[in-house]
Amino acid sequence: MIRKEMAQFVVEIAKDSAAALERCLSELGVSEYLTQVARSVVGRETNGIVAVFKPVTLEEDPLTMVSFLVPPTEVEPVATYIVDQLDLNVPGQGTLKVYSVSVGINPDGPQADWATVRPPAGNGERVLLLDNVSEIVSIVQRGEGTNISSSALNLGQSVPSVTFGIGRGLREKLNLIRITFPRDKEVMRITANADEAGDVFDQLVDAGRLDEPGKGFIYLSPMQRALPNTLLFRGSQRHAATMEQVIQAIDSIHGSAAWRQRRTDTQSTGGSQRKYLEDMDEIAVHIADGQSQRLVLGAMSAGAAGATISKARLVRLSGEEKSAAGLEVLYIIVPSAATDTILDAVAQEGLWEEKLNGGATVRPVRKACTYLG
Amino acid sequence: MSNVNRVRIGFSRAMQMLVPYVKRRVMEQVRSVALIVAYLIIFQVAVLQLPIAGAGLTALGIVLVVFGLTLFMEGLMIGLMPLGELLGIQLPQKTSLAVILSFAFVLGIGATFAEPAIGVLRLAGSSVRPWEAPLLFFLLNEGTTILVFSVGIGVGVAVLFGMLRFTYNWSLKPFLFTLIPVLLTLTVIAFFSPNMRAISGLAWDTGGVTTGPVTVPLVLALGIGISRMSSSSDDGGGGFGVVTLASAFPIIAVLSVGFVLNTAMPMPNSPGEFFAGDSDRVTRVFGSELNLERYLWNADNSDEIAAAYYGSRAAAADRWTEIENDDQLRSGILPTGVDEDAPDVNLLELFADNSVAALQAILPLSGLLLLVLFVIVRERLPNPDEIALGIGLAVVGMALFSGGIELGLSNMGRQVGRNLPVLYQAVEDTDNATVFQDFDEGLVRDALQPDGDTTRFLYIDDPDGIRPIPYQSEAHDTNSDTYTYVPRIGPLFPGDGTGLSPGILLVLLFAFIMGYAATLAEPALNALGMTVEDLTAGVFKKALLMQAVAVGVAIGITVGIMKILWEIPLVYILLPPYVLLMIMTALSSEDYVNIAWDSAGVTTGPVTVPLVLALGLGIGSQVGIVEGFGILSAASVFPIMSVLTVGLVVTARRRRKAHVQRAVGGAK
Repeated sequence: MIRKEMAQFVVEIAKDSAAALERCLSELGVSEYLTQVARSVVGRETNGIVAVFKPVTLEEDPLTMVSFLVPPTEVEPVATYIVDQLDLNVPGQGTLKVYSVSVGINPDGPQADWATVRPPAGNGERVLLLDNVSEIVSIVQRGEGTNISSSALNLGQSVPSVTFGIGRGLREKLNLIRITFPRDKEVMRITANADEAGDVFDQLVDAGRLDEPGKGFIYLSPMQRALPNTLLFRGSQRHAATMEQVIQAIDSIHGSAAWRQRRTDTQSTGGSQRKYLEDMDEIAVHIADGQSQRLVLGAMSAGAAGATISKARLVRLSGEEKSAAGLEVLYIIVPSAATDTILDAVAQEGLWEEKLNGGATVRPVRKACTYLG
Repeated sequence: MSNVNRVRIGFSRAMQMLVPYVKRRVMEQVRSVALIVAYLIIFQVAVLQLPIAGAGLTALGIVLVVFGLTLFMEGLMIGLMPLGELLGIQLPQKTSLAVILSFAFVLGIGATFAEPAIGVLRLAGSSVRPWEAPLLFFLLNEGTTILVFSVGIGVGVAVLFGMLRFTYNWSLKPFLFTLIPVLLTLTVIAFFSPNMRAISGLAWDTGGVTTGPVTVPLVLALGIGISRMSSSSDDGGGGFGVVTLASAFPIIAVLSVGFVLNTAMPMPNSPGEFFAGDSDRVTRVFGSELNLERYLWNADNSDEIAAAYYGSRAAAADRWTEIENDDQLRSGILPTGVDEDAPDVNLLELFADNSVAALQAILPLSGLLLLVLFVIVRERLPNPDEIALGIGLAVVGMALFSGGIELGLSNMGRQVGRNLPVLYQAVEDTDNATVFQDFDEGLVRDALQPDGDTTRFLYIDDPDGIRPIPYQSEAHDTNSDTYTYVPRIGPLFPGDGTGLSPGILLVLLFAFIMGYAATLAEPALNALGMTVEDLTAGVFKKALLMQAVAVGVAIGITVGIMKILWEIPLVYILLPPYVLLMIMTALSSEDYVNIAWDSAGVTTGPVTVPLVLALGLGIGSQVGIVEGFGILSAASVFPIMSVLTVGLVVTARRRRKAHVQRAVGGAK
């Protein structure tokens, strides 16, 4: 499969603000994007008698996760425009993530045109995005994500976003006994400074006991840029200025957010015996709702262990017109060496068939961990 | 598919996987029914201090309910709901809107015929007398076909509009703002016609009971599928609303049919006047002359009403001799000697009946879906073995749990319901009646009262010892010279007669907790809860929804019992809540409106309904009211209110948080 380097933007924003985001994307000239239903997990410091027993509770709010592709040259102005329009630099408003991905191109189909993305001219303020950041994605049994979410909050990196998914893999190889296999999954994503990401990764493996059998899967992938949501805890205000305000003030004094990154060279101490999978890729394939089964089986016969499938919608904007369709997104984590074989197998199974809205993106996974036997 | 290596799993390995899985699922159901079972037992034994009659069968019934629910829920999750969703996703891609709408209409009618809750309604109206409410009597007896048809068409139209709504992504609010005022207006108009007033309770209850445990999950899944293919970018609210519409349209259908039929029906009257009235009209109430005569000669007060119908006592006596002497007439009109309430429960028959009902409820509907999938959409099933297993499990599960409910839960509900009035008034304990043979009137003595009058009493000697009891002449059967003594028990908590005695409060408390506990065991609500949690990525937890709904149902049932205790007209019970609901709906966000209104339709399911009816009828028979309708419709209103309240609170809190964040962030 021919691939093309692009920048993938992911914006996670409160569901109430989704309409504002859509307006913003239409002004930017984004012609199609994917949305997923997600939730954010934030800690709340309790007060009164409750605080004695349970100092922090978790609050979960509806989140809309929107992703779209932008030419690599336009990353800076597009990011600036979105952050500016949606006040994303105010902690608690949402998250912006930018990945470097390679996008699968349909050899026979019409060439997708991403060059239409162009921010309206003359928007001013420079936005402080973090570079040198990584994303940690953990996939666990549904209902067991709470442990990982609360340790992610305690590690102080960013607000986790959680989507639902369905696991496919071993299950498809079984006879009817497969119904006893729990297939409902939760996918939790957090943003971490690249320098600390290794430690955070290990802590999350410990929290979710992800190196034990049947517990789940976790992987770490580099990001190009990010503006994470840092309002990790809500609660009674104890200081004249919140930590977020202080951080924001320092940001503007420094003129960048680079000071936030602690340059430490300490190696990870926890879990040094741990075996990791390295040099992997995350393949994200999307296709019309109800069509994913054969793609999964195709990918599996080409060597993939399985896939996690989440529901999404594909929204197309052209001028005032808007259309949408239900999609399934398959996340497949494979060794980089196998990526091309699997993409070809998926294409063979009908990824590019007409009216199925197929598509594929690939991004590198630096390390991954699961039960390795 | 063939080049993916299948893993073979040996029998013992399969058992290792299956046993913990089954155990977990069974425990889930044990938890969901534990509360209602424990509560009924504790109430009967500790508060009413009565033994549980037929404790063995009741226990068996409860075990069956647990296993049946486990299998049924599993069947829903791996069979029926995936099938519905698959079809929903495929239909818009492969067919035209006209096909979808025709399918929806047929599905709605089919669902009504598959799960006719008519038995439930009949039970609620079992004590209706033709002269008290002729139209209601007609609809519950000879007119049931008309009733089922009008409900079916109502549900069909509802599913049709639901699919239109999904396709075009219409909001539910305009539907509500149109339908509910129409409904309320019709009900208010009906209030002023005695016949219509009597059927408005029936109409509202039909709305609640039509949406059964098979229809709801199926239609929900279908709707989710279709709305995923709609052109809206908003994801999460899709799939809901059909249940609401399927509760509202049948009410309109039944009321409209009622208005039409009413023109040909006699007015409610005293028994004598009623049967002396226009004989064509009176006959219409019974459907035929034969039915009428059968009713006439088998009623408690047949002397009086027969005389009225035939014109005089002499004419009635003539007709009686005529019937006696004509074999054909006699066998058609007089009871055939079949003992209707046979004391022994025939287990085999019970399960045969329930299996047939389960097959009837599930197979035609899933058959229709499969037919449309194969013939119209021309799509293969991705996991045919899983879906087949699911449908099988659903059938077996439904047969077991409905049999178990009949055997266990509703049996207990009936006992408690019948005995509950003991709390606030004296009740005859017919279970412990003693018949004294060779009664001699000479045993009766006089007792002196302060004002000089006398009361008659006699001494009896039974296992409880020798003691005086008041003499009642009607207990003395002069033909057989026997005297039947029925002990009176209660009131356990006598009040001062002002209406709100401690006993009555206890009854209301009982109704409240029973409504709460029974709702938590409802399978359709469980399915709705899971769907909601799934569609909101876990933000709206199933547990929260179920708690909110259960509290709503509890309030509703309490209000419904008040209606029966104090004979409050239905309009007074329904009008204010619905007006309030209109306001709350206007203020709420679309997501919560969808979920809240749909919860109303699913609450009145197979666990709650028998218990509620047993309770309502138990109390109703002591109060002497016409019918037990209205509790179910009250149990549908209040959950909407409680879920909307949760929604408004959550939304307000979220807004405040967003506001604080902006203020703290000190943005631009």
